[in-house]
Amino acid sequence: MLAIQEELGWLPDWAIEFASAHLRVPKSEAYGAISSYPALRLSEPPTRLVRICLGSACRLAGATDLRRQLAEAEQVDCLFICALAPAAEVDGRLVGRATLESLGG
Amino acid sequence: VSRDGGETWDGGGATWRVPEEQRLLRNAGRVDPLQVPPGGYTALEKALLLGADKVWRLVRDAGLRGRGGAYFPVGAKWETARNTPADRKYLLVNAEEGEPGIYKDRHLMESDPHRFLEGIQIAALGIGATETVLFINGEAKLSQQRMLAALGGARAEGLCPVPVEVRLGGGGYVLGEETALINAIHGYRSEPLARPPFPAVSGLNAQPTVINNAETLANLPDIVRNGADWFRSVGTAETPGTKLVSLAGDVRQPGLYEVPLGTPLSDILNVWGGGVQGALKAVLAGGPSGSILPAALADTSLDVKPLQDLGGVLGAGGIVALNSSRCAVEMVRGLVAYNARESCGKCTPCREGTVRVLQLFDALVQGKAGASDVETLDYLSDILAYASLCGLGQMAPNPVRALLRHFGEEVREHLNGECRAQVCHERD
Repeated sequence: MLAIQEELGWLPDWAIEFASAHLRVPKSEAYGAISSYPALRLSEPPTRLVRICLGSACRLAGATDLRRQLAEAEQVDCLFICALAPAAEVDGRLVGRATLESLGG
Repeated sequence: VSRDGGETWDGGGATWRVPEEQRLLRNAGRVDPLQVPPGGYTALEKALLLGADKVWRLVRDAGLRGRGGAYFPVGAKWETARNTPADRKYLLVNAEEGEPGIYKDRHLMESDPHRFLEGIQIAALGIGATETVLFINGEAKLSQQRMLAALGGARAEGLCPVPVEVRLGGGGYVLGEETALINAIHGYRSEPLARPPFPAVSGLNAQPTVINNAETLANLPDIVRNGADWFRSVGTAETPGTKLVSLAGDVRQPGLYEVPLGTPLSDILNVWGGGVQGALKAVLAGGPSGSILPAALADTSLDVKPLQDLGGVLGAGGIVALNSSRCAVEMVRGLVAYNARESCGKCTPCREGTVRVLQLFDALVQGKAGASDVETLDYLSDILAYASLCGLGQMAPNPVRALLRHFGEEVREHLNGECRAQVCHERD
């Protein structure tokens, strides 16, 4: 599933159907497994995907305000660069000490 | 020294340096992670000469405990798997690291992958494992690249006697639970199973499986090289050795540090972290399953027992400092919200309980809660701790209980619609 997502950016219905047929499991089971992992996407991402970290360290550094100002951004639980809070990710590229400007908001 | 902080810190002329003792991070930033470092794999050679029994005894005598958060004695876990007769035995290495605020395993894999790989091979020898599975977070791209490159290098030089298979995960806090991790590798939902049987008896493909954290295994090369007494020379009698601490929040120099176990939390903030920005109000220790401690208890030492006595856990080593401009209730609400999102939904106490706790916290920060709600929180915490199937639910109430215990006054203020940090009540 990670490989499909790498290719398509998300997991559309037809890809899940195809993969479950390949694995010989019901579609429901494949969907069930996918929906339990935060990294797997069941909806199409926007053309430019901004994710803002709302972990403890980033909230302390003002990530909540950043999230409020950037309406199109998604939130993520942790980007694991807490020492560079607030952290964000733009199209898979990590941004440390993020500001409204550095995220192109 | 981890340079995660990036910019140098100007301490107003004061010299700031990290205390010298470094074990796990000794090579970090000093060796090329893509090359086998000088002197690398000599511990594996020594381990092969010693044989499986002696390696296991060495690890048991060193008193190494699992660094994933449970601090279970490694020697005892290995023993169970060793004593279970089977044709195939697995070593499952958990480098998923789904806990927010922790980035120690990534750092190990990215800066010194060969130490880690050597540790994996030594462990596989000590357990008698026939196969090894290395589980890495699917979003940790650099860790994957470095580990695959290191594996290729080690295989080419014949330094990889037990086969290692790399599997990628889809994230999730519940993967810290051993049985959920096994489910994830089998391709199912990441939900825990009832125990027993313990994975050490029947785990991956229903074979005996030892699950060790990445940091635990990174300790092994030095233990084999220098012996159990050397390992015990740092840390406490119960929990010897060092711990990688992910330090963040209101400190001047946040980052990843290697700290001897038993060090007071205040030392970690002041000596390693370069001091607190503003007046220290509280310390969040142990992430979403951990606790919030007031500044008065900052002298508590970084060890399993002292933190447990205060209702907390040492966990995977995440420490966040809060200064006086922060609201304790709001910070704990963040942890509660995370636990509610990450609950896998398999057992009812955790699925419903974590959401209900979050609703009560929402009421608290909006100033709509009453005194009976605080009682309900207390009651719910007990149910979660007693009735949940796995560690996620059992430990979810830890920060809530710590808040009620140490910050009761601040909670009561919130009932009256006051927030001394002026953070709450304005939010939508």
